Amino acid sequence: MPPLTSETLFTLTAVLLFGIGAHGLTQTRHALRRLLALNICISAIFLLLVASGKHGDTDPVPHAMVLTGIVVALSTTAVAISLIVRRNRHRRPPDGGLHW
Amino acid sequence: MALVFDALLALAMLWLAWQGVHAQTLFQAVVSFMLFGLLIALAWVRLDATDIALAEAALGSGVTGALLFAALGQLPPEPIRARRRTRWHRRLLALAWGLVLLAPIALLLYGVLQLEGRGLGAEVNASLSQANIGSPVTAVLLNFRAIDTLLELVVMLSAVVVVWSLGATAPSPLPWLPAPSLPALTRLLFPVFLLTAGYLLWRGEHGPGGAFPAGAVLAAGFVLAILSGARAPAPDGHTGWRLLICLGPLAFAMVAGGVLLAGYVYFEYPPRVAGLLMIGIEIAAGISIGFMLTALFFAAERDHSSQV
Amino acid sequence: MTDLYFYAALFLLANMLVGLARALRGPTMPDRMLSGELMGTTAVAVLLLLSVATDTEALIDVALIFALLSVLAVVTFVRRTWPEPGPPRGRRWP
Repeated sequence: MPPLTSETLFTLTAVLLFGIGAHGLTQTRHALRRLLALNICISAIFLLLVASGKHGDTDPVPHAMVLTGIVVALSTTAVAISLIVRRNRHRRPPDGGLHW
Repeated sequence: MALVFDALLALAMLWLAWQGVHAQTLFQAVVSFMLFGLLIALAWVRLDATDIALAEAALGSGVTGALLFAALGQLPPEPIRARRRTRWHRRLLALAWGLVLLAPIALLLYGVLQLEGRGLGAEVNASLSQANIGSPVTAVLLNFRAIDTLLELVVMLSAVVVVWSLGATAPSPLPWLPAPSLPALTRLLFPVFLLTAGYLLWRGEHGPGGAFPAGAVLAAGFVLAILSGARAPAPDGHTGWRLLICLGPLAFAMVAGGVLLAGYVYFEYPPRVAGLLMIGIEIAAGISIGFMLTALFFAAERDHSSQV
Repeated sequence: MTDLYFYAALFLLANMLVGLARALRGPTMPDRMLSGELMGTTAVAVLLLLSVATDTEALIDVALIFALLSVLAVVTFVRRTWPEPGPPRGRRWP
Protein backbone atom coordinates (compact mmCIF):
# COMPACT_ATOMS: atom_id res chain seq x y z
CA MET A 1 0.00 0.00 0.00
CA PRO A 2 1.62 3.26 -1.10
CA PRO A 3 1.61 6.25 1.28
CA LEU A 4 -1.33 8.62 0.97
CA THR A 5 -0.06 11.60 -0.99
CA SER A 6 -1.79 14.02 -3.33
CA GLU A 7 -0.82 11.83 -6.28
CA THR A 8 -2.33 8.66 -4.80
CA LEU A 9 -5.42 10.59 -3.79
CA PHE A 10 -5.95 11.91 -7.31
CA THR A 11 -5.19 8.49 -8.79
CA LEU A 12 -7.94 7.03 -6.63
CA THR A 13 -10.27 9.88 -7.63
CA ALA A 14 -9.52 9.29 -11.30
CA VAL A 15 -10.37 5.61 -11.03
CA LEU A 16 -13.65 6.40 -9.25
CA LEU A 17 -14.47 9.08 -11.83
CA PHE A 18 -13.94 6.55 -14.58
CA GLY A 19 -16.35 4.26 -12.79
CA ILE A 20 -18.98 7.02 -12.59
CA GLY A 21 -18.51 7.81 -16.27
CA ALA A 22 -18.69 4.18 -17.38
CA HIS A 23 -21.75 3.59 -15.23
CA GLY A 24 -23.45 6.68 -16.66
CA LEU A 25 -22.52 5.70 -20.20
CA THR A 26 -24.47 2.49 -19.90
CA GLN A 27 -27.25 3.54 -17.56
CA THR A 28 -28.58 6.74 -19.11
CA ARG A 29 -30.81 7.04 -22.14
CA HIS A 30 -30.45 10.59 -23.38
CA ALA A 31 -27.63 11.06 -25.88
CA LEU A 32 -26.42 14.30 -24.29
CA ARG A 33 -26.09 12.59 -20.91
CA ARG A 34 -24.09 9.83 -22.53
CA LEU A 35 -21.86 12.44 -24.11
CA LEU A 36 -21.27 14.03 -20.70
CA ALA A 37 -20.52 10.62 -19.21
CA LEU A 38 -18.03 9.95 -21.99
CA ASN A 39 -16.37 13.28 -21.31
CA ILE A 40 -16.09 12.40 -17.62
CA CYS A 41 -14.42 9.11 -18.58
CA ILE A 42 -11.98 11.04 -20.78
CA SER A 43 -11.13 13.51 -18.00
CA ALA A 44 -10.66 10.59 -15.60
CA ILE A 45 -8.14 8.97 -17.93
CA PHE A 46 -6.21 12.23 -18.29
CA LEU A 47 -6.13 12.59 -14.53
CA LEU A 48 -4.98 9.00 -14.14
CA LEU A 49 -2.22 9.48 -16.70
CA VAL A 50 -0.78 12.57 -15.03
CA ALA A 51 -1.39 11.66 -11.37
CA SER A 52 0.04 8.16 -11.63
CA GLY A 53 2.94 9.32 -13.81
CA LYS A 54 4.09 12.00 -11.42
CA HIS A 55 7.25 11.06 -9.59
CA GLY A 56 8.96 14.03 -8.04
CA ASP A 57 9.73 16.46 -10.84
CA THR A 58 7.19 16.93 -13.61
CA ASP A 59 7.39 14.88 -16.78
CA PRO A 60 6.45 16.90 -19.87
CA VAL A 61 5.55 13.90 -22.05
CA PRO A 62 2.27 12.91 -20.33
CA HIS A 63 1.45 16.61 -20.13
CA ALA A 64 1.83 16.98 -23.89
CA MET A 65 -0.24 13.82 -24.44
CA VAL A 66 -3.04 15.16 -22.25
CA LEU A 67 -2.96 18.53 -24.01
CA THR A 68 -3.37 16.75 -27.34
CA GLY A 69 -6.11 14.62 -25.83
CA ILE A 70 -8.08 17.62 -24.58
CA VAL A 71 -8.20 19.06 -28.09
CA VAL A 72 -9.25 15.76 -29.64
CA ALA A 73 -11.94 15.34 -26.96
CA LEU A 74 -13.23 18.84 -27.70
CA SER A 75 -13.43 18.12 -31.45
CA THR A 76 -15.27 14.86 -30.80
CA THR A 77 -17.67 16.59 -28.44
CA ALA A 78 -18.42 19.32 -30.96
CA VAL A 79 -19.24 16.77 -33.68
CA ALA A 80 -21.33 14.70 -31.28
CA ILE A 81 -23.27 17.76 -30.12
CA SER A 82 -24.07 18.75 -33.66
CA LEU A 83 -25.24 15.21 -34.46
CA ILE A 84 -27.43 15.16 -31.34
CA VAL A 85 -28.96 18.54 -32.19
CA ARG A 86 -29.72 17.46 -35.75
CA ARG A 87 -31.26 14.20 -34.66
CA ASN A 88 -33.68 15.99 -32.34
CA ARG A 89 -34.38 19.20 -34.19
CA HIS A 90 -37.87 18.43 -35.46
CA ARG A 91 -39.19 17.26 -32.16
CA ARG A 92 -39.37 20.54 -30.34
CA PRO A 93 -42.88 21.23 -29.01
CA PRO A 94 -44.54 24.46 -30.14
CA ASP A 95 -44.63 26.00 -26.66
CA GLY A 96 -40.90 26.54 -26.66
CA GLY A 97 -40.20 23.72 -24.26
CA LEU A 98 -39.51 24.96 -20.77
CA HIS A 99 -38.61 21.63 -19.22
CA TRP A 100 -35.46 19.84 -20.04
CA MET B 1 -2.83 20.39 5.20
CA ALA B 2 -2.52 20.18 1.46
CA LEU B 3 -4.13 16.79 1.71
CA VAL B 4 -7.31 18.29 3.23
CA PHE B 5 -7.53 20.67 0.27
CA ASP B 6 -7.04 17.83 -2.19
CA ALA B 7 -9.54 15.57 -0.44
CA LEU B 8 -12.19 18.31 -0.45
CA LEU B 9 -11.48 18.93 -4.14
CA ALA B 10 -11.68 15.22 -4.96
CA LEU B 11 -14.99 14.79 -3.13
CA ALA B 12 -16.51 17.78 -4.90
CA MET B 13 -15.28 16.43 -8.25
CA LEU B 14 -16.83 13.03 -7.65
CA TRP B 15 -20.14 14.56 -6.58
CA LEU B 16 -20.23 16.87 -9.59
CA ALA B 17 -19.38 14.04 -11.96
CA TRP B 18 -22.27 12.03 -10.56
CA GLN B 19 -24.58 15.04 -10.95
CA GLY B 20 -23.24 15.64 -14.45
CA VAL B 21 -24.57 12.26 -15.49
CA HIS B 22 -27.60 11.68 -13.31
CA ALA B 23 -28.95 15.16 -12.51
CA GLN B 24 -32.69 15.55 -12.78
CA THR B 25 -32.72 17.83 -15.81
CA LEU B 26 -30.34 18.21 -18.74
CA PHE B 27 -29.62 21.81 -17.78
CA GLN B 28 -28.53 20.75 -14.30
CA ALA B 29 -26.32 18.07 -15.81
CA VAL B 30 -24.64 20.57 -18.12
CA VAL B 31 -24.06 23.10 -15.33
CA SER B 32 -22.61 20.35 -13.14
CA PHE B 33 -20.34 19.26 -15.96
CA MET B 34 -19.11 22.81 -16.46
CA LEU B 35 -18.35 23.15 -12.76
CA PHE B 36 -16.64 19.76 -12.88
CA GLY B 37 -14.34 21.21 -15.54
CA LEU B 38 -13.62 24.13 -13.21
CA LEU B 39 -12.64 21.85 -10.35
CA ILE B 40 -10.57 19.54 -12.50
CA ALA B 41 -8.57 22.59 -13.60
CA LEU B 42 -7.85 23.20 -9.90
CA ALA B 43 -6.80 19.55 -9.60
CA TRP B 44 -4.33 20.06 -12.47
CA VAL B 45 -2.91 23.01 -10.60
CA ARG B 46 -2.47 20.83 -7.51
CA LEU B 47 -0.64 18.27 -9.65
CA ASP B 48 1.80 20.95 -10.91
CA ALA B 49 0.38 20.68 -14.43
CA THR B 50 -0.23 24.37 -15.06
CA ASP B 51 -0.20 24.01 -18.84
CA ILE B 52 -2.99 21.41 -18.68
CA ALA B 53 -4.92 23.61 -16.23
CA LEU B 54 -4.70 26.41 -18.79
CA ALA B 55 -5.95 24.19 -21.62
CA GLU B 56 -8.69 22.73 -19.43
CA ALA B 57 -9.88 26.18 -18.35
CA ALA B 58 -9.90 27.42 -21.95
CA LEU B 59 -11.00 24.39 -23.97
CA GLY B 60 -12.33 21.75 -21.61
CA SER B 61 -14.44 23.93 -19.38
CA GLY B 62 -14.88 27.21 -21.29
CA VAL B 63 -15.51 26.29 -24.91
CA THR B 64 -17.13 22.90 -24.25
CA GLY B 65 -19.47 24.49 -21.70
CA ALA B 66 -20.51 27.17 -24.18
CA LEU B 67 -21.07 24.55 -26.91
CA LEU B 68 -23.26 22.54 -24.53
CA PHE B 69 -25.32 25.60 -23.54
CA ALA B 70 -25.85 26.49 -27.18
CA ALA B 71 -26.96 22.90 -27.84
CA LEU B 72 -29.41 22.95 -24.92
CA GLY B 73 -31.21 25.88 -26.53
CA GLN B 74 -31.95 23.73 -29.57
CA LEU B 75 -32.84 20.46 -27.88
CA PRO B 76 -36.36 19.44 -26.99
CA PRO B 77 -37.11 18.65 -23.35
CA GLU B 78 -35.99 15.25 -22.25
CA PRO B 79 -38.89 12.80 -22.13
CA ILE B 80 -39.82 12.08 -18.51
CA ARG B 81 -39.97 8.37 -19.21
CA ALA B 82 -36.33 8.34 -20.17
CA ARG B 83 -35.05 9.77 -16.96
CA ARG B 84 -37.14 8.22 -14.22
CA ARG B 85 -39.62 5.56 -13.26
CA THR B 86 -37.48 2.52 -13.80
CA ARG B 87 -38.99 -0.77 -12.84
CA TRP B 88 -37.53 -2.82 -10.06
CA HIS B 89 -35.93 -5.41 -12.29
CA ARG B 90 -34.17 -2.66 -14.26
CA ARG B 91 -32.88 -1.23 -11.01
CA LEU B 92 -31.64 -4.63 -9.97
CA LEU B 93 -29.92 -4.95 -13.34
CA ALA B 94 -28.31 -1.53 -12.91
CA LEU B 95 -27.06 -2.51 -9.48
CA ALA B 96 -25.65 -5.76 -10.81
CA TRP B 97 -24.00 -3.87 -13.65
CA GLY B 98 -22.44 -1.48 -11.15
CA LEU B 99 -21.04 -4.42 -9.20
CA VAL B 100 -19.68 -5.96 -12.42
CA LEU B 101 -17.99 -2.63 -13.24
CA LEU B 102 -16.45 -2.49 -9.80
CA ALA B 103 -14.15 -5.46 -10.45
CA PRO B 104 -12.20 -4.01 -13.43
CA ILE B 105 -12.08 -0.65 -11.65
CA ALA B 106 -10.47 -2.20 -8.58
CA LEU B 107 -8.10 -4.03 -10.90
CA LEU B 108 -7.25 -0.77 -12.67
CA LEU B 109 -6.50 0.92 -9.36
CA TYR B 110 -4.35 -1.98 -8.20
CA GLY B 111 -2.43 -2.02 -11.48
CA VAL B 112 -1.84 1.72 -11.52
CA LEU B 113 -0.56 1.76 -7.95
CA GLN B 114 1.92 -0.99 -8.83
CA LEU B 115 3.40 1.02 -11.70
CA GLU B 116 7.06 1.77 -11.52
CA GLY B 117 8.83 4.10 -13.86
CA ARG B 118 10.61 7.37 -13.98
CA GLY B 119 9.15 8.83 -17.16
CA LEU B 120 10.93 10.77 -19.85
CA GLY B 121 11.44 14.03 -17.97
CA ALA B 122 15.22 13.68 -17.79
CA GLU B 123 15.56 12.92 -21.50
CA VAL B 124 13.40 15.89 -22.49
CA ASN B 125 15.35 18.26 -20.27
CA ALA B 126 18.63 16.91 -21.64
CA SER B 127 17.69 17.67 -25.25
CA LEU B 128 15.88 20.92 -24.49
CA SER B 129 18.86 23.01 -25.59
CA GLN B 130 18.59 21.60 -29.12
CA ALA B 131 15.01 22.76 -29.42
CA ASN B 132 15.76 26.46 -28.90
CA ILE B 133 12.62 26.88 -26.85
CA GLY B 134 12.25 27.48 -23.14
CA SER B 135 9.21 25.46 -22.15
CA PRO B 136 9.65 21.67 -22.06
CA VAL B 137 5.99 21.03 -22.86
CA THR B 138 6.05 23.35 -25.89
CA ALA B 139 9.27 21.67 -26.99
CA VAL B 140 7.59 18.26 -26.87
CA LEU B 141 4.50 19.54 -28.66
CA LEU B 142 6.19 21.48 -31.44
CA ASN B 143 9.53 19.80 -31.86
CA PHE B 144 9.97 16.29 -30.49
CA ARG B 145 6.45 15.14 -31.25
CA ALA B 146 5.46 17.78 -33.78
CA ILE B 147 3.60 15.34 -35.99
CA ASP B 148 1.14 14.67 -33.16
CA THR B 149 0.33 18.35 -32.99
CA LEU B 150 -0.08 18.58 -36.76
CA LEU B 151 -2.47 15.63 -36.71
CA GLU B 152 -4.29 17.21 -33.77
CA LEU B 153 -4.92 20.28 -35.90
CA VAL B 154 -6.12 18.03 -38.70
CA VAL B 155 -8.52 16.29 -36.30
CA MET B 156 -10.01 19.65 -35.40
CA LEU B 157 -10.18 20.60 -39.08
CA SER B 158 -12.03 17.38 -39.86
CA ALA B 159 -14.45 18.12 -37.03
CA VAL B 160 -15.22 21.47 -38.68
CA VAL B 161 -15.63 19.79 -42.07
CA VAL B 162 -18.00 17.19 -40.61
CA VAL B 163 -20.10 19.80 -38.82
CA TRP B 164 -20.28 21.94 -41.96
CA SER B 165 -21.27 18.98 -44.10
CA LEU B 166 -24.23 18.26 -41.85
CA GLY B 167 -25.78 21.53 -43.00
CA ALA B 168 -27.52 24.21 -41.02
CA THR B 169 -30.33 23.48 -38.61
CA ALA B 170 -33.32 25.73 -38.38
CA PRO B 171 -32.50 28.92 -36.51
CA SER B 172 -33.09 28.66 -32.82
CA PRO B 173 -36.86 28.97 -32.20
CA LEU B 174 -36.37 30.68 -28.86
CA PRO B 175 -37.13 34.36 -28.53
CA TRP B 176 -34.10 36.43 -27.70
CA LEU B 177 -33.93 38.45 -24.55
CA PRO B 178 -33.37 42.10 -25.17
CA ALA B 179 -29.82 42.75 -23.99
CA PRO B 180 -29.03 46.42 -24.42
CA SER B 181 -25.83 46.30 -22.37
CA LEU B 182 -24.32 43.40 -24.27
CA PRO B 183 -22.84 45.37 -27.20
CA ALA B 184 -21.24 47.81 -24.77
CA LEU B 185 -19.76 44.96 -22.76
CA THR B 186 -18.39 43.39 -25.91
CA ARG B 187 -16.88 46.65 -27.10
CA LEU B 188 -15.09 46.81 -23.78
CA LEU B 189 -14.02 43.18 -23.59
CA PHE B 190 -13.18 42.27 -27.19
CA PRO B 191 -9.79 44.06 -27.18
CA VAL B 192 -8.99 42.33 -23.89
CA PHE B 193 -9.67 38.96 -25.49
CA LEU B 194 -7.41 39.81 -28.44
CA LEU B 195 -4.67 41.05 -26.13
CA THR B 196 -4.89 37.95 -23.94
CA ALA B 197 -4.72 35.66 -26.96
CA GLY B 198 -1.58 37.44 -28.15
CA TYR B 199 -0.11 37.27 -24.66
CA LEU B 200 -0.73 33.54 -24.39
CA LEU B 201 0.94 32.95 -27.78
CA TRP B 202 3.99 34.88 -26.66
CA ARG B 203 3.94 33.17 -23.29
CA GLY B 204 3.91 29.66 -24.80
CA GLU B 205 7.52 30.07 -25.77
CA HIS B 206 8.86 29.93 -22.22
CA GLY B 207 5.98 28.78 -20.04
CA PRO B 208 2.45 27.40 -20.04
CA GLY B 209 0.44 28.88 -22.87
CA GLY B 210 0.66 28.38 -26.58
CA ALA B 211 -1.56 28.11 -29.60
CA PHE B 212 -4.48 26.14 -28.19
CA PRO B 213 -5.39 28.29 -25.17
CA ALA B 214 -4.69 31.37 -27.29
CA GLY B 215 -6.98 30.08 -30.02
CA ALA B 216 -9.69 29.33 -27.47
CA VAL B 217 -9.53 32.86 -26.06
CA LEU B 218 -9.63 34.29 -29.59
CA ALA B 219 -12.68 32.14 -30.37
CA ALA B 220 -14.35 33.24 -27.14
CA GLY B 221 -13.89 36.85 -28.26
CA PHE B 222 -15.39 36.14 -31.68
CA VAL B 223 -18.33 34.21 -30.25
CA LEU B 224 -19.00 37.00 -27.77
CA ALA B 225 -18.93 39.58 -30.56
CA ILE B 226 -21.28 37.60 -32.79
CA LEU B 227 -23.67 36.85 -29.92
CA SER B 228 -23.83 40.57 -29.19
CA GLY B 229 -24.86 41.31 -32.74
CA ALA B 230 -21.64 41.84 -34.69
CA ARG B 231 -22.08 40.88 -38.31
CA ALA B 232 -19.90 38.15 -39.71
CA PRO B 233 -20.22 36.16 -42.92
CA ALA B 234 -21.72 32.72 -42.36
CA PRO B 235 -18.82 30.34 -41.82
CA ASP B 236 -19.49 27.63 -44.35
CA GLY B 237 -18.98 28.40 -47.99
CA HIS B 238 -17.12 31.63 -47.39
CA THR B 239 -13.65 31.56 -48.94
CA GLY B 240 -12.07 33.77 -46.29
CA TRP B 241 -13.22 31.45 -43.54
CA ARG B 242 -11.87 28.42 -45.37
CA LEU B 243 -8.48 30.06 -45.88
CA LEU B 244 -8.18 31.14 -42.26
CA ILE B 245 -9.19 27.71 -41.02
CA CYS B 246 -6.62 25.95 -43.19
CA LEU B 247 -3.86 28.44 -42.37
CA GLY B 248 -2.50 26.61 -39.32
CA PRO B 249 -2.37 23.05 -40.67
CA LEU B 250 -1.00 24.37 -44.01
CA ALA B 251 1.76 26.40 -42.39
CA PHE B 252 2.67 23.45 -40.23
CA ALA B 253 2.78 21.03 -43.14
CA MET B 254 4.72 23.48 -45.30
CA VAL B 255 7.40 23.87 -42.65
CA ALA B 256 7.54 20.11 -42.18
CA GLY B 257 7.91 19.56 -45.91
CA GLY B 258 10.01 22.64 -46.60
CA VAL B 259 12.88 21.47 -44.44
CA LEU B 260 13.14 18.47 -46.77
CA LEU B 261 14.21 20.81 -49.57
CA ALA B 262 16.95 22.23 -47.37
CA GLY B 263 18.33 18.75 -46.89
CA TYR B 264 16.92 17.95 -43.47
CA VAL B 265 14.73 15.09 -42.34
CA TYR B 266 10.94 15.52 -42.27
CA PHE B 267 10.04 17.74 -39.27
CA GLU B 268 13.66 18.31 -38.36
CA TYR B 269 13.98 22.04 -37.85
CA PRO B 270 17.31 23.60 -38.86
CA PRO B 271 18.86 24.49 -35.48
CA ARG B 272 19.51 28.11 -36.35
CA VAL B 273 15.94 28.99 -37.23
CA ALA B 274 14.14 26.41 -35.05
CA GLY B 275 12.84 28.96 -32.56
CA LEU B 276 11.65 31.29 -35.31
CA LEU B 277 9.89 28.51 -37.24
CA MET B 278 8.10 27.32 -34.13
CA ILE B 279 6.89 30.83 -33.32
CA GLY B 280 5.57 31.16 -36.87
CA ILE B 281 3.75 27.85 -36.57
CA GLU B 282 2.32 28.86 -33.19
CA ILE B 283 0.91 32.11 -34.57
CA ALA B 284 -0.63 30.47 -37.65
CA ALA B 285 -2.03 27.62 -35.57
CA GLY B 286 -3.44 29.99 -32.95
CA ILE B 287 -5.32 32.02 -35.56
CA SER B 288 -6.64 28.89 -37.23
CA ILE B 289 -7.76 27.35 -33.94
CA GLY B 290 -9.62 30.53 -33.07
CA PHE B 291 -11.53 30.46 -36.33
CA MET B 292 -12.11 26.70 -36.19
CA LEU B 293 -13.66 26.89 -32.72
CA THR B 294 -15.85 29.81 -33.81
CA ALA B 295 -16.94 27.79 -36.82
CA LEU B 296 -17.79 24.83 -34.59
CA PHE B 297 -19.88 27.13 -32.43
CA PHE B 298 -21.85 28.73 -35.25
CA ALA B 299 -21.91 25.94 -37.81
CA ALA B 300 -25.46 25.04 -36.94
CA GLU B 301 -26.91 28.50 -37.44
CA ARG B 302 -26.92 30.41 -40.68
CA ASP B 303 -28.60 33.66 -39.73
CA HIS B 304 -26.88 34.17 -36.42
CA SER B 305 -26.20 37.86 -36.98
CA SER B 306 -29.70 39.03 -37.73
CA GLN B 307 -31.10 39.92 -34.32
CA VAL B 308 -29.89 41.88 -31.34
CA MET C 1 2.82 33.82 5.70
CA THR C 2 2.41 31.37 2.81
CA ASP C 3 0.53 29.14 5.25
CA LEU C 4 -1.99 31.90 5.71
CA TYR C 5 -2.55 32.10 1.94
CA PHE C 6 -3.07 28.38 1.82
CA TYR C 7 -5.61 28.45 4.65
CA ALA C 8 -7.43 31.26 2.87
CA ALA C 9 -7.51 29.15 -0.31
CA LEU C 10 -8.90 26.23 1.69
CA PHE C 11 -11.57 28.48 3.17
CA LEU C 12 -12.53 29.70 -0.29
CA LEU C 13 -12.71 26.12 -1.56
CA ALA C 14 -15.12 25.33 1.28
CA ASN C 15 -17.08 28.39 0.16
CA MET C 16 -17.21 27.00 -3.34
CA LEU C 17 -18.83 23.86 -1.97
CA VAL C 18 -21.56 25.98 -0.38
CA GLY C 19 -22.09 27.68 -3.74
CA LEU C 20 -22.21 24.21 -5.28
CA ALA C 21 -25.12 23.30 -3.03
CA ARG C 22 -27.01 26.31 -4.41
CA ALA C 23 -26.12 25.36 -7.97
CA LEU C 24 -27.53 21.90 -7.42
CA ARG C 25 -30.68 23.00 -5.58
CA GLY C 26 -31.68 25.77 -7.93
CA PRO C 27 -34.58 26.16 -8.19
CA THR C 28 -34.53 28.31 -11.34
CA MET C 29 -32.07 28.19 -14.21
CA PRO C 30 -30.59 31.65 -13.58
CA ASP C 31 -30.04 30.66 -9.93
CA ARG C 32 -27.92 27.74 -10.99
CA MET C 33 -26.08 29.77 -13.56
CA LEU C 34 -25.29 32.57 -11.13
CA SER C 35 -24.03 30.25 -8.42
CA GLY C 36 -21.91 28.60 -11.08
CA GLU C 37 -20.45 31.99 -11.88
CA LEU C 38 -19.88 32.59 -8.19
CA MET C 39 -17.88 29.38 -8.08
CA GLY C 40 -15.92 30.55 -11.10
CA THR C 41 -15.06 33.83 -9.40
CA THR C 42 -14.06 32.01 -6.23
CA ALA C 43 -11.87 29.71 -8.30
CA VAL C 44 -10.10 32.80 -9.65
CA ALA C 45 -9.41 33.89 -6.06
CA VAL C 46 -8.25 30.39 -5.09
CA LEU C 47 -5.87 30.33 -8.06
CA LEU C 48 -4.41 33.71 -7.20
CA LEU C 49 -3.88 32.68 -3.57
CA LEU C 50 -2.27 29.40 -4.61
CA SER C 51 -0.10 31.32 -7.03
CA VAL C 52 1.31 33.36 -4.15
CA ALA C 53 1.46 30.41 -1.75
CA THR C 54 3.39 28.16 -4.15
CA ASP C 55 5.23 30.99 -5.89
CA THR C 56 4.01 29.90 -9.35
CA GLU C 57 3.51 32.88 -11.60
CA ALA C 58 1.80 30.91 -14.37
CA LEU C 59 -1.28 30.34 -12.19
CA ILE C 60 -2.17 34.00 -12.74
CA ASP C 61 -2.63 33.18 -16.43
CA VAL C 62 -5.03 30.36 -15.55
CA ALA C 63 -6.98 32.77 -13.34
CA LEU C 64 -7.07 35.26 -16.22
CA ILE C 65 -8.51 32.66 -18.57
CA PHE C 66 -11.14 31.64 -16.01
CA ALA C 67 -12.18 35.24 -15.57
CA LEU C 68 -12.43 35.85 -19.32
CA LEU C 69 -14.16 32.64 -20.31
CA SER C 70 -16.80 32.83 -17.59
CA VAL C 71 -18.22 35.73 -19.60
CA LEU C 72 -18.60 33.40 -22.56
CA ALA C 73 -20.65 30.92 -20.51
CA VAL C 74 -23.03 33.59 -19.20
CA VAL C 75 -23.52 35.28 -22.56
CA THR C 76 -24.15 31.95 -24.28
CA PHE C 77 -26.65 31.06 -21.58
CA VAL C 78 -28.48 34.36 -21.95
CA ARG C 79 -28.48 34.34 -25.74
CA ARG C 80 -29.02 30.68 -26.48
CA THR C 81 -30.36 28.70 -23.55
CA TRP C 82 -32.64 30.83 -21.45
CA PRO C 83 -36.09 30.36 -22.93
CA GLU C 84 -38.31 33.38 -22.49
CA PRO C 85 -38.11 37.09 -21.77
CA GLY C 86 -40.55 36.90 -18.90
CA PRO C 87 -41.47 33.93 -16.72
CA PRO C 88 -45.00 32.67 -17.10
CA ARG C 89 -46.98 33.16 -13.93
CA GLY C 90 -47.23 30.38 -11.42
CA ARG C 91 -44.79 28.15 -13.21
CA ARG C 92 -41.46 27.08 -11.86
CA TRP C 93 -38.59 26.80 -14.22
CA PRO C 94 -36.33 23.80 -14.11
